[in-house]
Amino acid sequence: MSILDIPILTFSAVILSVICVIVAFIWGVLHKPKDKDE
Amino acid sequence: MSNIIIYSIVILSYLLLLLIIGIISGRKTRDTSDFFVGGRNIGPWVTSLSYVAAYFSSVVIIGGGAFGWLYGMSTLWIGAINVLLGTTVCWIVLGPRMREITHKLNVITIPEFFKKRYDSNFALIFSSLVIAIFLIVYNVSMLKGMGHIFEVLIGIPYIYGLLISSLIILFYVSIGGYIAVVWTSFIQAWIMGIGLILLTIITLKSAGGISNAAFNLSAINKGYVETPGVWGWQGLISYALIVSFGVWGMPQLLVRFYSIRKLSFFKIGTPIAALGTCLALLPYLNGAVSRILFPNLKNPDLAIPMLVKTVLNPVGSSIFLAAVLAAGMSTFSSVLIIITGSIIKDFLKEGLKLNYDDKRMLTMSKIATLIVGIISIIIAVKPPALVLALTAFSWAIISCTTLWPVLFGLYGRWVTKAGVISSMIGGFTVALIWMILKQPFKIHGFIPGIITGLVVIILVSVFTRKYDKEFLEAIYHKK
Repeated sequence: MSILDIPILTFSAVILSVICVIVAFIWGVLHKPKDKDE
Repeated sequence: MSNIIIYSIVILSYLLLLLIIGIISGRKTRDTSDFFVGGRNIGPWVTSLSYVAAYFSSVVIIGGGAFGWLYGMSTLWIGAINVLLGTTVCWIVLGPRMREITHKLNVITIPEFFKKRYDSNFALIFSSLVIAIFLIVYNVSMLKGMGHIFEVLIGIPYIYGLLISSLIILFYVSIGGYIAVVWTSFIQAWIMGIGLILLTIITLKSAGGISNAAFNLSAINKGYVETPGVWGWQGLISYALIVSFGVWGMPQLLVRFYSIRKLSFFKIGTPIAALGTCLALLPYLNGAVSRILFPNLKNPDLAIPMLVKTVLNPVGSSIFLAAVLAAGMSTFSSVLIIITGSIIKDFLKEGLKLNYDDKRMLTMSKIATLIVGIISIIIAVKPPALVLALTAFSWAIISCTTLWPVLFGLYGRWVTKAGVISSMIGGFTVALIWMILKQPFKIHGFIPGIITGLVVIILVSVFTRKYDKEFLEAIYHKK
């Protein structure tokens, strides 16, 4: 039995969470804030 | 070694650590800015993980398990939407913008932000009163949760569990203020993570692995592994949206955005917060799997406590108890400091124009923290029926009052003063009436409240006088 014995739509919740972390990481890399108050 | 000694050693070590953090933080708290926002000098790791800890209360861990047991694996979607909307999008959309504008306006609380952004004393007083009153009610539910955790997991009477956890929190918050809140929350997030991961690994092992667990659950009812499963789309989506989008208006979470030291810290903080929020999936997963072990629970709230008692040894159980306590304590302490801010900084100083020097305000803030905490404890000992009825809705009422004014305060130049005030009153009133009417059509009060707030802010702003360009330029113009 593999982990995909869980229906794909249910398992997609885990996939979505992983995608969110990746998107947050990429946003962090690309985001160019300017700290004016330093 | 007997179980009670193991529990005592783990819990006392944990509580001692919190007290030490409180004392150290107290030495760093010199003025009201330190007390309410840590002098806006908090790093990305502490900011993001304390956000996660404040987001998830013990109610979420125990209640999440109950939802998992009741509705099965489709509830993993609630955790996933928490990660998507409650953290990732929230941090990207609100975080940097809020930090930038609150610094420019030199504000340290949400009601103060409303006052300066909308030039409205009414918005300040109304929001500070709603926040103070309904967060006290919210706190009562946190305290009740902590008291019951002691009662269920180690058999200590409710009142002792309540007093042990709440008095420790009162000590460190009144001495160390926000610095103590974020540092204890940071530690608590790690403890929650360790406790939840430990429970999940051992639960899945007991169930013969994730695939076996899914197979056995499916044998009971296919709806326990499928999405939307036994809950249905309407219930699942609306609940997931409520507990994810609702946090966009919660002051105890938003404060993290204006207390972070640098804008560039969001680059690190956002992925850490998103990763930390993934923990939200675990109570639902554990709850779902617990149905295989306990198919006939009379009270679904017992799913996680029963699981802990069954699959973990005393050391594991005591670590998990510390984790659930940590979840409750971090939320309670975060809320406590916001209530004090609303009363002292917003209502008394800004609203009623009490002109005391900062040292006196700091002392008053510490005393107010103690008083608010003691009031919460007294109510939690035997909550009146009205307070009990309100606890499930208090956060929704606050969010319906503050969410749109916060979001449009950051992005909506076209929003008018009349629009914002009407939206606050409209969202608040509809959510409250919906609660009093006992949720007509079985729809949570957050949904009609938040829709009313949005419709009203748009409609009234279209027909009323806009802010002057000079006023808006002073807020939004990038130097």
